[in-house]
Amino acid sequence: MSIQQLFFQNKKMPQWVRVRPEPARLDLSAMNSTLYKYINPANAITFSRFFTLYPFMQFMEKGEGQWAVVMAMLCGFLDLFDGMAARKFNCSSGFGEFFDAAADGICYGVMLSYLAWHGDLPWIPIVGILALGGVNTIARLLYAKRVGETTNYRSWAMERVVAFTIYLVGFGAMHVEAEFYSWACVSIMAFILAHDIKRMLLDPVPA
Amino acid sequence: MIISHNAAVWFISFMVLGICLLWLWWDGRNFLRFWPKRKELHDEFFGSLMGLACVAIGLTGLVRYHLSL
Repeated sequence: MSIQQLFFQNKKMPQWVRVRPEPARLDLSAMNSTLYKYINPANAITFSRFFTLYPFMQFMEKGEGQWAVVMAMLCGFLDLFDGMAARKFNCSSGFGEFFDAAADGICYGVMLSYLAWHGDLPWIPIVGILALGGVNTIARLLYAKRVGETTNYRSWAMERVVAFTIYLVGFGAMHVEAEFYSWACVSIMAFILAHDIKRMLLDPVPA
Repeated sequence: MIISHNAAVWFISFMVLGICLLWLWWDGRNFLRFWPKRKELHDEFFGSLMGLACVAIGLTGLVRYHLSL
């Protein structure tokens, strides 16, 4: 009901009152199909993070480290909104969670690899981080197979390391203690991954 | 370049400090909240503990960076 209708509820509405039609709303319930599980606002935001990668590499190529950091921050910033969009549009799914984790891995993996290739980060710990990321993905796939559906094991500790990784990209691009942070990151990631593998593959699946 | 190198150094330093303090508040609070139920909420407790470790690494790196300037 519009505000005009509310105001003139028990009175005859004068001619000069222009009743506006109800604004068109996106009927998401009608889209409750298999396709909507994959193509929805939350996954679109997650996918948009890939568009920060090329500008990031271009800025690094031109020696514009500060702009590259802005791109890395934008990539991290968008990560905050996909979960919010999933709740707002009621489109949370196991696939969305998995896609979010995969996008984290791909975006930060590409950025870290590029920085190592560019000589801004030491390559040994970066190769270690990427290898551990690969092991983590395999363990998650095995966990999904164990549970029997497309799901994502929520690791509170690994979420912290993912946040740390995006700071590592910033430190690498700005040459702030890149060596120290890289070795610290790979060490803490190895420790957390050992814990998560035990939880995912050895401990009983939570009900 | 958006800002000068000197300004960027201080911007990064205050940003790292700010992130570490926010992170310390968040995970410090979580740590204290999950400590009594650390057996049942094992993953949450472990996550807050690792968060505090990340804070320690962040602050150590910041100190190292300023000592090397």
